[in-house]
Amino acid sequence: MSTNKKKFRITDDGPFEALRILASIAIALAVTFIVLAFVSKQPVTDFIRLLTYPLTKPNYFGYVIVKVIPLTFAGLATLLYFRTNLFNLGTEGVFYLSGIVATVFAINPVFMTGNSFIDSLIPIAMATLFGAVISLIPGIISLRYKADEMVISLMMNSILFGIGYYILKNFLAVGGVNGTASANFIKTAKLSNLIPRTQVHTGLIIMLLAVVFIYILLYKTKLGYAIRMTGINANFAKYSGMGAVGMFMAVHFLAGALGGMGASVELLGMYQAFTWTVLPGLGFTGALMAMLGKNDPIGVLIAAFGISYLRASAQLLANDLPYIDIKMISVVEVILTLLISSQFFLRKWRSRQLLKEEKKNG
Amino acid sequence: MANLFQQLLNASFIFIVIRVGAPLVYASLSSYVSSLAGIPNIAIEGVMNFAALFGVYFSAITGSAWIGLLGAIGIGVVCGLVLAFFTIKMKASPIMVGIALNLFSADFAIYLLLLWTGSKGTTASLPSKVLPTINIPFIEKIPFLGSILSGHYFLTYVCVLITILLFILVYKTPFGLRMKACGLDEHAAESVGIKVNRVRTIAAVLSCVLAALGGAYLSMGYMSFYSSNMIASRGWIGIAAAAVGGNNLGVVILVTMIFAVAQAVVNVLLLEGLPSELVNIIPYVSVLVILIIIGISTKKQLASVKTK
Repeated sequence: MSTNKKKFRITDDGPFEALRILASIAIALAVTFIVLAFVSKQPVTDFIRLLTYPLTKPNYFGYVIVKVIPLTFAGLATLLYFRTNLFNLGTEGVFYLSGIVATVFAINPVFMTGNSFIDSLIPIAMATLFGAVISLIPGIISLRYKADEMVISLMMNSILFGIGYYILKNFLAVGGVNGTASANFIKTAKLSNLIPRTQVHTGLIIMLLAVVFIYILLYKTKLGYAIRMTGINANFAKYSGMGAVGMFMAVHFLAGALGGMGASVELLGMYQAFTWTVLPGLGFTGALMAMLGKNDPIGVLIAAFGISYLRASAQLLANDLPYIDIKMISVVEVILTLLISSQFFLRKWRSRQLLKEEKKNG
Repeated sequence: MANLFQQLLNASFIFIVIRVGAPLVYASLSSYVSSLAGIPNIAIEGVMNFAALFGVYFSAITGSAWIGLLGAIGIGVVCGLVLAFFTIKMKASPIMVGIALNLFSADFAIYLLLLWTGSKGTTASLPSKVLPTINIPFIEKIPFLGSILSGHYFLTYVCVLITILLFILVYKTPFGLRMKACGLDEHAAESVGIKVNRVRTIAAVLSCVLAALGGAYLSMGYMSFYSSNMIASRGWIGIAAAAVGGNNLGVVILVTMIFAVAQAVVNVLLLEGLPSELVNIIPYVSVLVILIIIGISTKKQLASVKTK
């Protein structure tokens, strides 16, 4: 048997995985169609519009791109946790409070030089650093006191939100719509537009750099090797002398930094002022991106694009059609997650195919 | 300040503890049952959220609070079966299934809210019903005790009853023993003839029904409508309490009561006009504090074992 003459077979690991993902997507979209059939009088037209709407105008597609940015940051942060077997969903709390930190610097003329590069850099750097440091708290608690990482991270979300909202209401809010918006960001602090006639801002470049950074970190560095080995076999990693505590803290630090950076980039790219009054929900969405992207930075980027495409489309269509809303896309998300994480999904089909082939070959 | 202490030491405060404690107990029991049988359910928050919404919806379209409650329980059964199917039959990680269900519940409930009421906020516009409040004859006449024990919601008394039944189920029946066996070691359990998958499926459904009752309590008693975010991490607090208590149901209930007191303190402090954003984080901080205390005491135990 020579390997280079090997025929392409759908039951091989690679193609089979691709088939599984495609089948999951097909089922998820089919269920979306069924949901549409319940709420819409013209489900076929609406379904096609949902799938193609962002392609109809450049600024619609730009809207997809800007939605990819926060999802990718959240996905990258969660990916690091998942790779080390930590189910930490704390990105949204970090996101919120780091956003407050970025706001403090971005509305204050004292920190501004007039150079738009430096002026954007200061709030982003401070939010990144703050996110990194604040993420060490759940890390320390779970390491020192052997407590459940997921529960701690969720409690931290509520605590960080409470503190952030308190600061917003009492120190940052300016009289206005409802007393929960900060003063406007200073012009030079905002990220500038990247593609004319769309909302796409220079945060896209920062996001791509973050993807490249995490990719290099995971696959080309010693720390990345330790992270990957811990994910595969924690005991092996520990006994072969990979510094467990240092790596544990580094993962929390980096994930928090990504959360803080994502928050500041999103704020300075998309908003005029800090107006978030609820948690952004990025903890769970980040977990979803990491899972759908198979804990790989490039995979996360692709997953974030796919989900953002549908979310953006639904949100744009919601202006015309009252029965379509961005929250509807949760149907796609839940089915994809359930099916792709199911090890036995299509397994019977695969073994039947293999059996048939065996019989044919005698 | 003296006024505050007075408020914390009278009958009405204990009444509030019971009132805010019941949904937490439902959540802890839910998490306890599932982890006991070895099928961790972290979708409690999401199940509570769905049950709260569907309870209100069914009661509004049928005009009966009881059918609403049945609807909520039905949602619990469905969620339990989904959890069991994907973790047992499809070998998906229960953590991922839980994350998926939580995310789906949080988002899709808002979508349904939008379809049903036209707004993303509350179901206040729906003519939903609430479950009755029950005054216990005789006991309500006893001076101090009466004002604590009587006049709670129907589901509060159900909660007490279920807790007692669960004690009997877990500690006095063969099924309870089987659940524990499945949680400890599924292969060992299988080798003595226990149908692990069946026991776990029942545990998952039971767990989700308990969570659903907690959700129905919140939207059909505690409040008279559903609003998004109304669960406010109660499901997660229940999971934390169950994690601290481990396999000991008594400890689980005790820890839940501590969290209930923290939650009741919030209710009292809010009336004092303190900043609500900061006061609201007290229950979550108390969870962290308890987790740290437990961590320290286990460490000491380990240390003392080593020195012996």
